[in-house]
Amino acid sequence: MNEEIPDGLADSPRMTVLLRDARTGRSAAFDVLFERLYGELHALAHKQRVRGGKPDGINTTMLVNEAFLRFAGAGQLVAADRQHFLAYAANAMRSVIVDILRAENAHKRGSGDRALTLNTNIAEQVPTSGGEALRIHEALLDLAKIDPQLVQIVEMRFFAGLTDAEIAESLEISPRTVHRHWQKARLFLYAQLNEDDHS
Amino acid sequence: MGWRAFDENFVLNGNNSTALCRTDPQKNMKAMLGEWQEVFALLDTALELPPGERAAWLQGLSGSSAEFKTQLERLLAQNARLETGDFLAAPLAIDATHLIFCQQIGIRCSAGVP
Repeated sequence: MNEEIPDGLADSPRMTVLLRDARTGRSAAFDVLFERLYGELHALAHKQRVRGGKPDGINTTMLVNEAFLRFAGAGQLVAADRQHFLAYAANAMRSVIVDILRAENAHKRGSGDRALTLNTNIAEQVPTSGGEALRIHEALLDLAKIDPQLVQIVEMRFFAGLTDAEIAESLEISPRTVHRHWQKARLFLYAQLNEDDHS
Repeated sequence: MGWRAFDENFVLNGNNSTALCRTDPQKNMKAMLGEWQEVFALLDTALELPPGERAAWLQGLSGSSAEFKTQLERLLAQNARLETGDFLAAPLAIDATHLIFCQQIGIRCSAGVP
């Protein structure tokens, strides 16, 4: 049913309403929002692949932007929603990536296939392996217990490739604060992934 | 998941000498997270300072904050290395081969991140 989204949106509450409700703490709205974003991002990733998924990877930033445009085009979102949309979309993007990696991991385990790799959006950068991406996801579950906003920043920056300026606008904090939070989150994740460094 | 042999994970229960209970790993995790919370609060101050002033700030830490001096020193040095390193430097991209694979075996990825 995820696959049908967002073409069958006519009968459903508008995304703009869900965004507002989710922000005021209505978890039911959050769940519906998550499902739709997840379905849309997942479907867009597949479409992108069919269009000739490039060997250098499918850019998640582009998927998030495309999802916004599609919802906006369907009259589900207005331009002013973009700010808040980004944080929720980044959360769903993380989920899409984690689920794909887990599914493949489970299937390939023991089969002797090549190790999972993930490309980055930027060709010159050292890619993060699929295994590392999953460990980052797991460490984020712990980070969420300390400071959920740091998790949002990692989702937006690392999983959705958004800029500090976009993140700042979305979370209504200064870019300087975004960068400071990012540095703390990165230190935490590095320590969790390299436990010898933090005793 | 079962009980392991006598080791540091087992302690005597003070109220009942016959009962043994394992120190709760959740509790260790809680302590670890609590420590990070304090470290983050101190890093908020440290990271706002110009790098040249951080050493003096560290030396000036007193009271319970002073306990974190060594750790903070290490983290600030680590942070400087990470700023120019590869770790999380670039956003993830989805490798198209994962999606091809997903489709081949008909995965419906529907689980969510809590």
